[in-house]
Amino acid sequence: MAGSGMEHLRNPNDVLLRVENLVMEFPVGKTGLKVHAVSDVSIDAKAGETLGLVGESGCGKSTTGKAMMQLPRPTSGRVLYAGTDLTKLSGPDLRKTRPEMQMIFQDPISSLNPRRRVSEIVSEPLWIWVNDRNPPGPKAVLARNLLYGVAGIWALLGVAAMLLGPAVLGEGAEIPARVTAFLQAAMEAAAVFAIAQMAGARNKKSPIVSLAYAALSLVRVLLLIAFGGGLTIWTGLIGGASLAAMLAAALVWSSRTEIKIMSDHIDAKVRKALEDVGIDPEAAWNRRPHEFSGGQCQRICIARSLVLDPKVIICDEPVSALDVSVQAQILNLLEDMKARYNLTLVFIAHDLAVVKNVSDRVAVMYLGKMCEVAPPDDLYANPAHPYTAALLSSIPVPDPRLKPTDENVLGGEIPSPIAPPSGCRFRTRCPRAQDMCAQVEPKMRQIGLGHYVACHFPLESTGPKPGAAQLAANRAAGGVAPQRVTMPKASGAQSF
Amino acid sequence: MITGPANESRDPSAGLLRVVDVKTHFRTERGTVRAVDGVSFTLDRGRTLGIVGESGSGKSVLSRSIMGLLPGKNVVRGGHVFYEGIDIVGFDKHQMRHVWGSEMSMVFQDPMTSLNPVMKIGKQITESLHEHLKMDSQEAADTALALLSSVGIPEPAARLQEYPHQLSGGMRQRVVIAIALACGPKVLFADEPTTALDVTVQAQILNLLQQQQHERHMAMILVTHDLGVVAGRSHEIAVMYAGKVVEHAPTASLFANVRMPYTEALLSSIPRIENPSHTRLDVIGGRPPDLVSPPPGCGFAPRCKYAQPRCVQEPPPLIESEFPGHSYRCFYPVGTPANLEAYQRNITAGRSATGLPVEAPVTIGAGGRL
Repeated sequence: MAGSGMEHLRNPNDVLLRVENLVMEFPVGKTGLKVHAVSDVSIDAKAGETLGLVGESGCGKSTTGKAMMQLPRPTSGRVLYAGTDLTKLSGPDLRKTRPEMQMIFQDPISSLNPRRRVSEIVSEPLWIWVNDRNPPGPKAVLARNLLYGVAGIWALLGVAAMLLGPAVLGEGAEIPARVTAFLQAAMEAAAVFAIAQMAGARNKKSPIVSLAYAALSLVRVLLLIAFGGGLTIWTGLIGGASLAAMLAAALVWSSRTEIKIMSDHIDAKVRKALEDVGIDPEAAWNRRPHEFSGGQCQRICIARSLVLDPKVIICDEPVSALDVSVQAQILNLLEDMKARYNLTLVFIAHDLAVVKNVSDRVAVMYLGKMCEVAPPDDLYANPAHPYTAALLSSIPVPDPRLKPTDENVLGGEIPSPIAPPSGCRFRTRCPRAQDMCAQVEPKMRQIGLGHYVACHFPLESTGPKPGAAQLAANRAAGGVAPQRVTMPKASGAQSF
Repeated sequence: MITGPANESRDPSAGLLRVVDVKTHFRTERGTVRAVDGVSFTLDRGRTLGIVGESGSGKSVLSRSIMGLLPGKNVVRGGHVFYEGIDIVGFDKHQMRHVWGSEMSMVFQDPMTSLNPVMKIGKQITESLHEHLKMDSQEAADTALALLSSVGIPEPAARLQEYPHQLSGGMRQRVVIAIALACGPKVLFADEPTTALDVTVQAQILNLLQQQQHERHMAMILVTHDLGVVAGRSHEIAVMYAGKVVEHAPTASLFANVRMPYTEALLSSIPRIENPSHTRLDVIGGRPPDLVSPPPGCGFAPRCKYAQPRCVQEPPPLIESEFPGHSYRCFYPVGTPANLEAYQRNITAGRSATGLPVEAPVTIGAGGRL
């Protein structure tokens, strides 16, 4: 393991997410040392595929997942999402990709704000991201555009009144020159703003809705001043003021209607997301996270990530904190949601059985490096990397016929990522390690269809693939117990 | 050796640890939580009992209750715990001190929180040696060194002078095990000893526990939520649900002849490594019952696809099966004609007696991908 290389990457045009030579290092205080959390990792995922990342704690699987989200930005390397290099994007541009990529975290209870209600938690992303992909519905668009249209006409009327007023009324000196100048400037600004709003209303991506509404209110106030000012010249102060007040009331009413339409639309989306993940929206609406069990909280987290219709969801150990029975519910739910929302999943976990269950492609990581990449059934039937084999053999199997033994258990623990071993990073625990492993870092190379390994001395494929069907048949016949994955030791194995 | 009240008679045939109808109820503002509600078992030296259950099934409370590690207030304890024939339920703190460490000890789930972060490891190990075995400093230090090497810690002499934060999770758990073993207990409780650890380290720690148990001829109670952990490492397994043992059997018999629908459901919800990827998992819908006001009938009935009207009305007793030592709490045990009949009735009705939708099982191969 512990290999680099990009042999296992597929054609960039075929994949949705592609990570190239990702490096993530964190400084250790002021010592000048670095934690080499992820070192030269490359991986990709096609649209609609589930990529499983698996390994022990400290292997860099979560860091890789977070680096895909630019949380934080990687030290070096590229993260391509639909052909765009996220590492090169500026803050605002990166922000625009956020609705497309969402995360689900390990501990569902601590990743929900305990003081917010479920409806607020799940709707928050929508209030932040009112954008193209979540149009507020034709009625709301019509109402808004009508509003802008009327506002624009009012602004123009105001300008006309200001310009033509003196000509019509003669050079009456009722209004001081300073006020006229101010009103004129205000009207011009308001008119420009209103027209800009009208033009931009259809495809405007307002990052913060409240800010947009504040801007809108400002426009409306300016329009009022402008219109009121223009009218004053014609009708006198009192008439102008009363008209302005009526106008203000109408505008407040229309804004409230608009917000109501928006809020109804968002509520409907939240309800749908909650229903999809198996939470009753009516019962959950006003409750807070502490009133739910761990599994329900994880469902709420999933609803929160789905509500924006993302393309990619990065699931960072989503079932590790859950009971076995709840784990099964959440795994099934993720499969359902993947189908329903056309998702691409990056599934990070330390449990190989779980990863195998959900993944289309599994990548095994060790100490910041990629060991082996393969389709799950092939990986589990024919592990080529000694580390994969060791991981497989240490899974507790719920079958008393398989007695756990010491012989396949991986000794020692993961070395420090501050000073990782030279060459292959797994060599210090590898039963097959040779001198070469300390000097030359293995590169990813193909050993089967879609099966890649970074090892100088990979395990031989154990003949015909046992395959799940055969194992199941053995079980059903009550005959041969399934074999544990064994790790043949190389004859010249040396310890380091 | 512990001393009990003079009128206690010792029955050497009773086994090392005999737990009889242990109840642990907590008084809360909401009402009485029946965390453990009548659990009995017997355990001998050299044997391992696996206690399996979901969160909230009472498995941890049970082990704490047996060891007398419960809060002093608002706890109602019932039943008897006979240790070498003496009932230790009535023991006060001073009497329990003779039991803790030298007779029974416990390995907890999280090795970071069960070690004192500001005390050197050597000191934490020798503490109980001084207290229980009255060793002098030199003797205690030598014993601690031997203990650390026996649990597989490299450079044990250097580790004695280190603090817990300087060790990895697996090493810390080894230290916790060394402390638990220090005074040579006869019963070792391991309460989710590997849940906080990686899968490779988990295998190491479980092997270590097993090896120490053999060498010291201890009785071990392995509490876990993972049937995989106990499958190959226990002599018998007790499955707990809602404070009760719902199935108790020798390990091989439990897996080969599952009787309790809950155990069956638990087993089928585990993703199996030998199944092809995207295999649809069987889920147990719903949640365990509220232990403040448990339902009158079987606690699992609302989640059980075999549930019949009788399951809702009366609680099933612990029934002995035809297999030796195998008992369960179910009126319609899995693998019997009564069960098949009940299932068939529910399939026909489309729902169980508790309203759980029941569908005919999907044939193998069609239930895979969505």
